[in-house]
Amino acid sequence: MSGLGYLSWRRQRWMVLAALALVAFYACTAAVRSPLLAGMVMRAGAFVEPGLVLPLFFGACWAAPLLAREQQHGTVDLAYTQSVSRLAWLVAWVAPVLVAAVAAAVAISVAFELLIEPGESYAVWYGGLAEAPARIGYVLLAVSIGLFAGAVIGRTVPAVAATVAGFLTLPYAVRIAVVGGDFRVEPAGWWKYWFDLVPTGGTAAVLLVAAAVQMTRRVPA
Amino acid sequence: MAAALDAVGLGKRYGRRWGLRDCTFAVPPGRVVALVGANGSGKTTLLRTIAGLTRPTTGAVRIDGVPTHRREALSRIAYVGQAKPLYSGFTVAEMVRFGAATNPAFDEHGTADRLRTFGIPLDRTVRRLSGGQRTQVAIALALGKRADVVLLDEPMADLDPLARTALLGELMATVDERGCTVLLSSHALTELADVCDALLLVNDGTLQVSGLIDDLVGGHRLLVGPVEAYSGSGRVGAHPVVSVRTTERQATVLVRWVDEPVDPRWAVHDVTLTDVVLAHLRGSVDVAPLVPA
Repeated sequence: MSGLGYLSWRRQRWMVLAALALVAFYACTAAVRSPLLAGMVMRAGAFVEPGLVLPLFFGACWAAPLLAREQQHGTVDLAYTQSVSRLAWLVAWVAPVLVAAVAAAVAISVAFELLIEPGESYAVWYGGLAEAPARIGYVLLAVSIGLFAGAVIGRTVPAVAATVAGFLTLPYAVRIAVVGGDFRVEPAGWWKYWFDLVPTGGTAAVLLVAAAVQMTRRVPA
Repeated sequence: MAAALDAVGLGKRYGRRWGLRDCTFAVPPGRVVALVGANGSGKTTLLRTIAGLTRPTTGAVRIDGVPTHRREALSRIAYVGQAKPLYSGFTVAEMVRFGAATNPAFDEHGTADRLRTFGIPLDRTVRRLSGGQRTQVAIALALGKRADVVLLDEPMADLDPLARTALLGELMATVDERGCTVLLSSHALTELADVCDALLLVNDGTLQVSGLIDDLVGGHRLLVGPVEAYSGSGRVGAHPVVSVRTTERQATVLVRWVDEPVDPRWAVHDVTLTDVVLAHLRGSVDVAPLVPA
């Protein structure tokens, strides 16, 4: 790994550890069969739902402050006055969150696939590998919303708030744009599993490019 | 290799307000240049523009003919901002490693040794350093880059008198050793006079004075005389007036000295750099800017 890549991981080590803890939590709860745990998870509802927790952790807690803090503390000036190009620095700096987000989505899907038998009573989670493309899509979408918000807003707290708001609204907007608002449309066959990845991944790619343009061309003014 | 820095018609507009207007100057290689001016006069804007962090609205600043916001110029310019930004979660050793990872010519061992000499523990995180120590780390990183032009924005602001002297000594040694050009903004005029050999004075976004310090100090005189001797025309004899202060009886006039005799009612005194800078900042009389060095 290049020196800059190592330092980028090192700088984000606490977030890497938090992501590992999150994956471990889901793996453990998937392995346990207990009516008590099943009841607690049911009462916690959306607060522990991996489809919300993973994207919000990677998008709002990790990605949004990443570029916002650089601007707020002025460390972007430090990076931009070294000999590496702005884009090279940016790629090295955001790579950990993108890699970790995809790895966590895959790891949780693998864990659920291995640990949960279909129809098992007291299993608190559902959806194994078949759900992986959708999980990857949503987590990437949240991360790119976070990076974009951080790049544009440049302040940590507003960027986090914008990311949460963006993730709670943007997928619906995207879905309406894709299926024309008809929520009864359910794609069939193998396509069913990849259906969510195309619009979410596409939107994420657009946002990532926009964030990169914002960071390299316009910041700092 | 040393580089020449020059700017032509440099301007930066923020909305309707011009932060910097029509700056033209040239700095030959191996000079230590003091950048002075009142707060908010455009010193930081000028340094950020030279560092390539701000794209100028008009004109250009070039290092050996290459505009400084271009990629090729990045490795040739080192910059330390006013806030001395560093990654607060990194240790000092990791900051040095950051410098080495982002600059091909970085002097990793030299920088670490330099920080050790200043008594800064390499294993301490930046968050736990004092303001002065942070400044030392930021400056060490900039010097370690081995750039041709080093830009320092208020480098001495949070240093104690001992550390200031040490820093200025270090800068002099670096200039002697590598022939690089140093541009530093500061309000510590007396200290600047000891180490700098040229001056850029920015006032209200425009470059008011630029030249070699010896020429500037030698080219001005302070005239003290009766108030009737001052006609108020912006000149005393052939000497253009820079600033005037009058009391009921006495007038104190700082003039640009030309080789002409002066009315014997005036007592002529030599000036210091501080006198010249203050007179130009006060600038009660409109004078055309001096020609660039």
